[in-house]
Amino acid sequence: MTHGASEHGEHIVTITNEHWVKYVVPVTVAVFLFAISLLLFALAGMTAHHAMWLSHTVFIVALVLLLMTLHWFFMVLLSESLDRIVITNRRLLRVQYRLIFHEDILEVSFDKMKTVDARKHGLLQNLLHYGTLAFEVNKARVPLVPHPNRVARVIQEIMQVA
Amino acid sequence: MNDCTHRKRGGKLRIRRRCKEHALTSLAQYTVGMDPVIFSPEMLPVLVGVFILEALSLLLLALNIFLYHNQNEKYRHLLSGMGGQHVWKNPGRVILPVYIVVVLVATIATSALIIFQPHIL
Repeated sequence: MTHGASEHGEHIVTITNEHWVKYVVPVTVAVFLFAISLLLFALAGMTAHHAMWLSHTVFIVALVLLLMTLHWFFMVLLSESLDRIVITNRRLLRVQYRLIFHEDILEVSFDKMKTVDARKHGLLQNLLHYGTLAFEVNKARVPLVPHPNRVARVIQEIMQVA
Repeated sequence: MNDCTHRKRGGKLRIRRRCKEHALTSLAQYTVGMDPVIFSPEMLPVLVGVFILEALSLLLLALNIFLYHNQNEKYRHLLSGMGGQHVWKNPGRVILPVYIVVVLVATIATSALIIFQPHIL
């Protein structure tokens, strides 16, 4: 799709990550699940002398929970860290990839889309300076953009030149 | 009569089953300092279950590393097509080693926990 695009006069203007707020929910869930699995390990240890079958069962459950949480958490971290918003002089690309599950590339061509709005709704988005870019009112939306006003200004300048 | 009393039946000396277990676990206790609970017959399926889970975990780790490297190369290729190969910084250069170390430590720690059972020694 983009291979050899530089030969046609396309160049990257800016690359930005998505806002870090996307990590808050996975980290909270992971801490909660890790705490539960550690408690289960402790319970397995405490019941080892009194009820061996219970201790073994709890140990297996704790191990499954620990390993699942561990892999899920790092898969989310690795996947999210790969997400990028690439702005070239011709288009905007948002690349989203989830290990094993899916890959999604959103492409907004500046030849077709002529307007862009930056939206920051709510206290959290205004405090943490992130929001959504909306092209042609709502034809295409790019959420979790850090400093959306600044990015929208860059895109508007590119659109004017194009 | 305690569990380890030898009983004579039909002219043969029979040792009760629990006595055999007691002898085995006592031997383990005195020789390697482990608790008798570790050598209970119920331990074998648990050990097998734990090792299967850990093997699956290590396989998933290997699969994720492979997928991540593939995707990373794909991104590098995508950006180099737009003349921006120098702006791509591998974001997993910190996360990936941490992931590998944490999974290995978890595997070793849980294996040690189920084999040596330090909490009951």
